[in-house]
Amino acid sequence: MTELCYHCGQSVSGGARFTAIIKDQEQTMCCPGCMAIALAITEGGLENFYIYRSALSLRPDTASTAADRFEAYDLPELSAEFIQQIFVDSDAANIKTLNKITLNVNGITCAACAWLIEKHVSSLSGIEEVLVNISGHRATVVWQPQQIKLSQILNAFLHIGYHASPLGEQSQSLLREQENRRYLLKLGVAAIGMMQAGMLAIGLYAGAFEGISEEIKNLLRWVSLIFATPVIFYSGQIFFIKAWNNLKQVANDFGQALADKATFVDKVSTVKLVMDVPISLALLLAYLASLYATMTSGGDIYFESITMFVFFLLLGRYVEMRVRHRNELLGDGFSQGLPITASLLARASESKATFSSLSSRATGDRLQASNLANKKPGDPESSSDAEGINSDATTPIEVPVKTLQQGDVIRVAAGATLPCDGVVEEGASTVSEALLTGEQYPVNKRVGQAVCAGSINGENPLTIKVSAIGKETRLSSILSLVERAQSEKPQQQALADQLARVFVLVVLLSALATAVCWWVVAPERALWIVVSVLVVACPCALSLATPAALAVASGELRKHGFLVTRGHVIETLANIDSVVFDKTGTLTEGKMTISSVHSLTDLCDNKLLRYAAALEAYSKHPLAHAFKAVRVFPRASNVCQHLGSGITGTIDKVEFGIGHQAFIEKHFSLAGLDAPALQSGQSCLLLADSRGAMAWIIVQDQLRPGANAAVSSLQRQLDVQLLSGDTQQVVANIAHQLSINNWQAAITPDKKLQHIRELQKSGRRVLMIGDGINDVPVLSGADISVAIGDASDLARVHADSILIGGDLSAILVARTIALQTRRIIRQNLAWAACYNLLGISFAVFGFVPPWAAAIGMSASSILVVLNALRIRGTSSPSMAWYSRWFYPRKLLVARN
Amino acid sequence: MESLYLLIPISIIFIVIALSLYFWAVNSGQYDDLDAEGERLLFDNEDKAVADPEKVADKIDREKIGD
Repeated sequence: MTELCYHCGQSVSGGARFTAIIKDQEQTMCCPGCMAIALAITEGGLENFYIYRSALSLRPDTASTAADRFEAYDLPELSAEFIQQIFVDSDAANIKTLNKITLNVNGITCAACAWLIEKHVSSLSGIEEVLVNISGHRATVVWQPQQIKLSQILNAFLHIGYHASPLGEQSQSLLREQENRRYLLKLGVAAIGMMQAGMLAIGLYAGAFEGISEEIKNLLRWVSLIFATPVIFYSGQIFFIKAWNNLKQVANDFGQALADKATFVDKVSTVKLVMDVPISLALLLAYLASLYATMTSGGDIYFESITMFVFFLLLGRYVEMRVRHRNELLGDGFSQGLPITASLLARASESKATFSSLSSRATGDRLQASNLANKKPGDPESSSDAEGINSDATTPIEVPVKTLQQGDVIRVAAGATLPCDGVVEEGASTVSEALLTGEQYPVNKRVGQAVCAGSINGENPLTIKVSAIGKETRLSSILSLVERAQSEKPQQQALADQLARVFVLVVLLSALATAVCWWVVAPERALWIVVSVLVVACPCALSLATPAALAVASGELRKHGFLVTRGHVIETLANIDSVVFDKTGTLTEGKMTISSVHSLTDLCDNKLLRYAAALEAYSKHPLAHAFKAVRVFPRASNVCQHLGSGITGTIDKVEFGIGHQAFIEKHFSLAGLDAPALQSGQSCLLLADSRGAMAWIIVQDQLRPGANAAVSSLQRQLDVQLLSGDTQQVVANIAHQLSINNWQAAITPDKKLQHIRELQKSGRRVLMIGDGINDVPVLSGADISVAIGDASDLARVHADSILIGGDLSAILVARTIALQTRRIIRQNLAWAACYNLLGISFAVFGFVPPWAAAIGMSASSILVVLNALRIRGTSSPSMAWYSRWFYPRKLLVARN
Repeated sequence: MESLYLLIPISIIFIVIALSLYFWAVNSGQYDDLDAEGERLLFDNEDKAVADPEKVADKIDREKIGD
């Protein structure tokens, strides 16, 4: 049995062991990050967290650079935007000023997280109050600004494994909260109104059988009217608004269709009616008819039915909203990759004044630089510019990015992320624009060229003239594309709407036919029978069918470590027929270790490894992880990452390089080297300097535990493929071990994408599993992309779903759940449509009294919801679906 | 049955009160987090962390080093 990390549940591997004593027992952790958090938790006396929690914690990011960034939040200009000041009279004499902030917290997995955060953070001195909101992934902190700084509070979150960042006023999170409250209010009014109208209806029906005085009957009807009115016009408002908007749209489309008679039929067929139209029609007509009946003391009243409609329909919309919010929440934390401060060299106004006399563009940049230098002399640090123009540079001031204006001049350090779009004023460097273009290889940028926010500066510092910040940047426009993709309605919802079109027609035609027929046969009954047709036709169950199933399914997927971040995933997952793996880090552990060193010079292995580690320290590539074990290494400068091929840099004035054989041979003009023989799971790196090849370093990556079983069970149902940028030999080995026949080695991201596109052209639906930066273009190309839990943020932003525990068998479970969901949704839609059509056909002949309509409607809605709940049992047959209802989760944990 | 003329208006008043309480509760944020509140009361709320002086000292040390 493989050992799992006590903290995050990922498999423990490799030589080094990380342990912590929790509740008097030694527990194993997978990485120093998890261990540090576990220690922080136990030292604070909060180890009960591990008993309380009902979900595993997330594995912490190994990058500890986050802490430095927190300091920026202590800048008053920046914090003013987030921090709210409150004044409290502690005693009559002095008034305390407290700061209050709302934070977005990443890494919350269950209710115990709230407990842990509140306990831990409130134990810091100076903290007045901490309140964690689990569903919103938010925390509200109140503190005394004299005693503790915001950055310290954020660090305290980080200590126990949560990444917190301040929330702006207009953030999505707050908008979601408002929407949630609005729905809850409407739902509450509908629920109470429904109960009252229902109780009064029982009195009325009992009276109808047992005898009731006309006076009391009228009283009860009037009271029902009083309760139903706010339900219809307050709670039911949203249906009327949506129906009205839809009708306007339809009228518009229809008008256009009329204008051109030739294409009339084509255009009319594209006109879309949504479910809200028949809903509103039923609600309004039934309400008005009941109102008329109440006033004239005759006919039937439908107040109990329509209040129930509104309640059930709202419940469906509310569930839909919650699922949508959950999905959005997952995307929230990832888009915060931009730095929040910038090193300002000169303001736009200053630089204009200084440089307005410049005549030609060619000399302008150089002059500009020296002018700047003369203005504010004295920073020795930035004198190492590539072009060497700046002998004595300016002192940059740290300012919040938001205060930047077009035309400001800023400095971007080597390796830093660009905070805004701009034009290079000075310096030359390679810049990785992977975030924008998906292109892995860095682009050379020199004076006069445009650079984009979100790209990562390579080896040299750059001085940049700001051209766009915030919403105007290209990055922002790309992110909004991602958002738009997210808000796309899942196709199943569209299926319900397709049904709606047919449905509306059927309802309207049958109501019309009924009206005409009964008008001829028995005019006094015509109105009431038409109303009963419309009431029975109210598509309550039909509107609940899809959201109920999707809500249950995404909750179930989350339990298995499969986080869905886009709406379409669940339905597409059921159609998948190909699974494409990216080797690095997906099938393997993704944790490289050095296996052996084949020296080609007379230097000892340790020395060679130090050179390698010096270069790899700058890389986030999975291969670089192997060199983390080397703790002491010289400092490399001018490090340049050739993404996907290798790293070069200068150590002691000699250029060194490490990477793939082909790249290193080309870079240092070497030839005739023979790579040592590799065993399965090994990769080979070539270390060289400008004097020649130095060593082969073989790094090893083991298969993920369970990868074999997962792949073979996937292969039973799907076509499994392996695409990798690694060498033929390595990939062949892995493929052989997992008996994957369809594999390709040493291919570039472009080729991968091309391959995926070809598969899609031949009618395949492709699920791509990847991590790492070189998968991003491919991930966005696949039908469904899955990022492994510890993938780079970039990969996660583009992925449709995230595999939290890194357990590949979860994909199979997810597919089973998706198939079951599709089945359930079809059943639900079929059942709901049958109920409505059957009801209509009875109602047309006048066989459906108001009470039958009410019972039928609620019964069909409940059936649809119960059917959706069956998805819960799909993947864990050992635990009956109902046990999850009846036992609190804590008891289940205790029993396990 | 004449009592209904008194009882029904009373019930209406009660419901109006109940609804306004509900509106107040929702608007003051008590329903914002429907996931956690149900489980929160299961957790032990005794503050052991602060009670143990050694651990507090440890913790302060760790914070000094850790940052």
